[in-house]
Amino acid sequence: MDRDLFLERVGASLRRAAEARPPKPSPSAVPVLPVPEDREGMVQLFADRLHELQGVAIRVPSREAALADIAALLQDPDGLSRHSDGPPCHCAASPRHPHDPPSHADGPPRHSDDPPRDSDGPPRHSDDSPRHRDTRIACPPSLVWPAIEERWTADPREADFGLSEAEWGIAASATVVLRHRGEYGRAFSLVPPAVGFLLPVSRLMPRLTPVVAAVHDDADAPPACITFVSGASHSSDIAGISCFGVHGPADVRVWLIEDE
Amino acid sequence: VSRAPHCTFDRVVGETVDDEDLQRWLSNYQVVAKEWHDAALAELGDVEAWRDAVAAVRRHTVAHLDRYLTQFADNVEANGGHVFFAATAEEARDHVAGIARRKGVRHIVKAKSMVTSEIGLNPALEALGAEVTETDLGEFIVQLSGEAPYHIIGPALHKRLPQIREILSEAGGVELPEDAEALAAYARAALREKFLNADMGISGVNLGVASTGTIVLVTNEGNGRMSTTLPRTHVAVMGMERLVPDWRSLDPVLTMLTRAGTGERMTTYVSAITGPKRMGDADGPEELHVVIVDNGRSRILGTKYEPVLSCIRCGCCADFCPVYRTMGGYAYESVYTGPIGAVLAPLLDGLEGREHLPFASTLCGACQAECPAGVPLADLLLELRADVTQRPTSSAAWRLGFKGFAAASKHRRLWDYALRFAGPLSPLVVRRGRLPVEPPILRAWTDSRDLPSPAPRSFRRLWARQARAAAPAPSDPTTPPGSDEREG
Repeated sequence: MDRDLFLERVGASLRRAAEARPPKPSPSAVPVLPVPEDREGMVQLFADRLHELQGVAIRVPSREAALADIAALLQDPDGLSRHSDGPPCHCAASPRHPHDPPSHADGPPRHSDDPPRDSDGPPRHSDDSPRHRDTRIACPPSLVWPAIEERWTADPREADFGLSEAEWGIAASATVVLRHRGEYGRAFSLVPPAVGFLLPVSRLMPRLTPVVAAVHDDADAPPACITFVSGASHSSDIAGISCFGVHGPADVRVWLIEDE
Repeated sequence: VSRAPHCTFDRVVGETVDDEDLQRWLSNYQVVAKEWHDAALAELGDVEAWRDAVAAVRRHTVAHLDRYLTQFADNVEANGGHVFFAATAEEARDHVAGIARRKGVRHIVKAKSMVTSEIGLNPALEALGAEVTETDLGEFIVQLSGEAPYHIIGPALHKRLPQIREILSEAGGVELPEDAEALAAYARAALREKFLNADMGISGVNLGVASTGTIVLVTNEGNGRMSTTLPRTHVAVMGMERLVPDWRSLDPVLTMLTRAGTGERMTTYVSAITGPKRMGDADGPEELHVVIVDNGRSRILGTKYEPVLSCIRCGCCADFCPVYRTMGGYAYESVYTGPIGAVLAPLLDGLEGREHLPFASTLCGACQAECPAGVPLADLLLELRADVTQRPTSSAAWRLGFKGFAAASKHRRLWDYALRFAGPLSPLVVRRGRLPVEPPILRAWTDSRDLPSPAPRSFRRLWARQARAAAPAPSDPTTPPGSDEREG
């Protein structure tokens, strides 16, 4: 239908209304989500809630420490869910309520030099640890560092692990926010069976409000895609049983970088 | 109300009610959904203030829809996208089919979308020879079984594990185990292949941001991201009311949409897509087409039913509805199920053949109380009932019955006399909960319930007598106004 005709029809329908059109609500009318706003409180909340979503938060003192941790992970044959060596998805034996308080085993966010906990990452399958092939990593070219050069691929379809840089984090929902532009593609955080994100702690926000406000206030148009990622891909469409890694990755790690 | 159009409804409801296993299944699902929903909302603090905030954004947007649609379309185009305004389902189908034909599309992957089901898009694309694959796991299951979605956000909600195993085994030509992990792994592998080979991805639009021309998609599995990232062409089909003015408005709407819909603080993925991929972008579709669908919505604008367009399609009303729990999703015979379907389906598709839907409600008000966007569903159901009864096509017995009831309830003495005589007379005519001769409209009731007999003495009469006995003064202030001894 012609655009003008369509819009005129909508306008004519609206003019039938007997009541006055309600004004635009003020942003101040939106309640404030009650969550901690101090740095430690936000980090703890982010880590706890990411754990509930089958993800792992790893606190590191610097970006270099995060990259070293990732390089070590790629060399560990049992460290990652792999894309061609076993089922990349797993299901909960018994549904755990997503908002159950974290158990004692959850604890604080992991530090990079801590030994792995049983609760880190998704369950491993016995046939899930290939020893016959190098683990591949996909990430934007500018992110590549010497320790991973031989394992790097530009094609996320070939990768076991995808790495992305987060623009912001949201503590209340354990969300990382990605601005996809240029080489910072969408597929790095979607196609490989395991993905990781680098998130400076200074970019961690308590709630969604300041993130949407920042996009709102940006004079430039948003990039072609902004993605909010909160934990592992999942579905309850099979008889209400929570299954992780249905299309996207089941293995999600966020390196929280102490940058201040 | 004519009985003829109800036959399918009656049959589907009968089958659902008689299926004890399904009844237990639906009941358990509502218990779990409520737990998740309540836990997610409890974290918000003042939930009513959040509801008010969402309702304010949505009502303002709908009331200024012409302005926001203009702004949204201008911004989609400024970012390199194409916009088409479809007045009808047919126009929308033809336009999408035209894109597929021009581009020689053979393989299409679809993210979950109610509006594409509403307009019947899949058959139009399949008629071109294209393979259309639903990629949401629930939609995939019901597509394979040849069924419609059962619930707004849980399309395969009614399917139990053995049934899903059978459906996926048949589709895959392999005997899959009755194990959710194996079934999910099979679906992942089968659908990954489809994503990688698709020429076109089709999605709905959860919310459109007018100020930037952004499409917001809310998903958990990642199929929405796959469908809008890997194929070269992305077609987004949007009901025309699904806008918010700007990014700040997303804050309350997104917060309540995910918490009310799935009991999550935020779904795993929220994608905000602003145009096709830009020059130098590593990935994303080369073309973005946004199809804005009216299909009956402008008939609702500016009327007493306009608040229904504030719905954000979270599906929460069905999760709290005792009628949905009992009669299931297919009784609505619409892509929109639950209380929102009982209101929206007759409004979008016309009352003809759907006049029974507004009556498929107990009017308990649970849907209205829980709606995160403040849609007054119970009030709208009542309005629809009034419209149904005022239609010239409604049965004479129905209209006469309601006229009689209205007359009696408006005239106090008539009401009192009717009750006074009905009480003593009813034991003589009501036998085993039925009348000896019943009109069909009454038989529908007495088939499953006893016709109640009025009490021999009304409450008012007993009250007056008790008050008189307790306080023998000539005038008793506790006597209800209007009561007198003669009341039956």
